Amino acid sequence: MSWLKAKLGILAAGLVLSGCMQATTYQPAPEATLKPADKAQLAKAQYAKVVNEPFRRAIVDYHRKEMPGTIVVDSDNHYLYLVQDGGKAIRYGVTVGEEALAFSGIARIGNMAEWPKWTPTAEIHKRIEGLPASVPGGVDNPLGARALYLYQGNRDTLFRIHGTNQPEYIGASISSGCIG
Amino acid sequence: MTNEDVIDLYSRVKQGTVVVVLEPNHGDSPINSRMAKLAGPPR
Repeated sequence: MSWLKAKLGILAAGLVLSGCMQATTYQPAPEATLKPADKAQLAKAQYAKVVNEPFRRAIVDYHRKEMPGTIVVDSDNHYLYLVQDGGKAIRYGVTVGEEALAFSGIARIGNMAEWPKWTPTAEIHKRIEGLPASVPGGVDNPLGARALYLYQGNRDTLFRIHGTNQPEYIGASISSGCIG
Repeated sequence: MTNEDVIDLYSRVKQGTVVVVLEPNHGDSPINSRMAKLAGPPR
């Protein structure tokens, strides 16, 4: 009988574990999405492309009520979720603005750009001296490969979801109030 | 985000997509370490 008890014990342990563990399936971004211009730019990158495992792209269970297709940014935990059908989400690791600068609330994507140029705001010029008026798009631009510009109504919030030229900071809080 | 990740995200959204940015200290990640701490050690 003891073997049966042991077996039931293992089964129970298995159930408890699966009940509280989050299914996290790490899955790199599909290369098929990269355009020839993207591949050419990314090949020029001088920085290491190393991101700690918890901040790598993953498919995860999603328990909140936002509709599929919504982007949800959890600044505290440095995650951005794209809600999918069936209680799932794609989770990405992000860098977020220092707490005092961080944006919160509901916005919409008002504009989107590939390899965007970066025009630092007056506020950023005040904090960081010696920046050029504009930085051309490319692999050394702090906005990286893409930018999503967040708007509330017709108003640009000045906050962006974007790529990076410093992947080593993903999981940290340093970006200029942006979600990088 | 890494450039590879933001290229992937960009390809999946469009203008008008709703973006919810949670308030600081209201993080609601399924693996929120603070919540895990409040819940106490695993039994």
